[in-house]
Amino acid sequence: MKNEDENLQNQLDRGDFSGEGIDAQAYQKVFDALKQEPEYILPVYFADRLVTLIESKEKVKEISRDNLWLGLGLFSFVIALIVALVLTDFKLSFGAFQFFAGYPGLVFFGIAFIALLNWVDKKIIRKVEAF
Amino acid sequence: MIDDRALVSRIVSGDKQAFMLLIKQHERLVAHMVSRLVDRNEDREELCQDVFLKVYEKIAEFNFQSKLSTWIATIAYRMGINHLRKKKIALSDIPEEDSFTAHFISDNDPQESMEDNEIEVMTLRLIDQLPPHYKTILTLYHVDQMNYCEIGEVTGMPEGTVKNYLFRARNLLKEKVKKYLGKEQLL
Repeated sequence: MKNEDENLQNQLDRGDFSGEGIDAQAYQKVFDALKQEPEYILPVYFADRLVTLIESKEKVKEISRDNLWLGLGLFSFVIALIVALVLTDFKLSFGAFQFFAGYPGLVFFGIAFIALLNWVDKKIIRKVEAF
Repeated sequence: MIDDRALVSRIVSGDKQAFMLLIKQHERLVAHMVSRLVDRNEDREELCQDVFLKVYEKIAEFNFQSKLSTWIATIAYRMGINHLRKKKIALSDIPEEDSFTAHFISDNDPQESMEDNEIEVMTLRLIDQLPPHYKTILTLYHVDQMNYCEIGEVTGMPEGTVKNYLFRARNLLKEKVKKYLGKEQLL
């Protein structure tokens, strides 16, 4: 029986099927059904959506990497600053700026002037350039 | 038609259009495998997405020891089986005992006879009732036209086991269909 089934299956596989009888008919029906593609198909936008997803994941990864480098850079800068301060025995002194104490108006004007320049740059110059 | 090596090399160098082409070329194969293993459409699409994400992640490691389609099918099969394990769905083999065969081919359909297309629909339903390994092998062989060796690579089974599974599954289906044909002829 097993040999007979094997023969029938092999014949159908090779495509030279000439079997008769109920077993042969049943196999023919089974093989016809097996050739049917499953009904499920992926949506037409599947590939596009997947590539978009990959791109957004890569972007997030890239930003994380950039942030990591920035963090490492800041950390190295602080370490280097501390090492430099220790090696040079640096002492913080405001002595060089003491003459400002006699000109409070000049200090105020300087700060206000710089603030004004920034405001003009932001509100007028950059806006004009954008047009 | 771009060949597999050129396609893989373009993907590795970051060409997203090339990856989109790979998806288009292999989405039917992956959808066939996943749809045979998983019932819900939402799960199917999610799993197909995970399969292609894994393909993208691992493509640089693909060494052309097999066809690209076989490699992708291997990933789809493993992820499909893992999905079933997570959902605690049994991956059992078809038991050798006659009781299973008797149960599988038992006649519990009230209809006396069936039209040809009804038999086809019934056979497709029966395929869904087979254990996952059998469904995968039947699909890869009959729908995706893979040979025993390629199916062996995908499933990790020896060629002999693949042949045996194929024979047993088709034999079981034939026994069930025979019952209905027998009735048809009696009428």
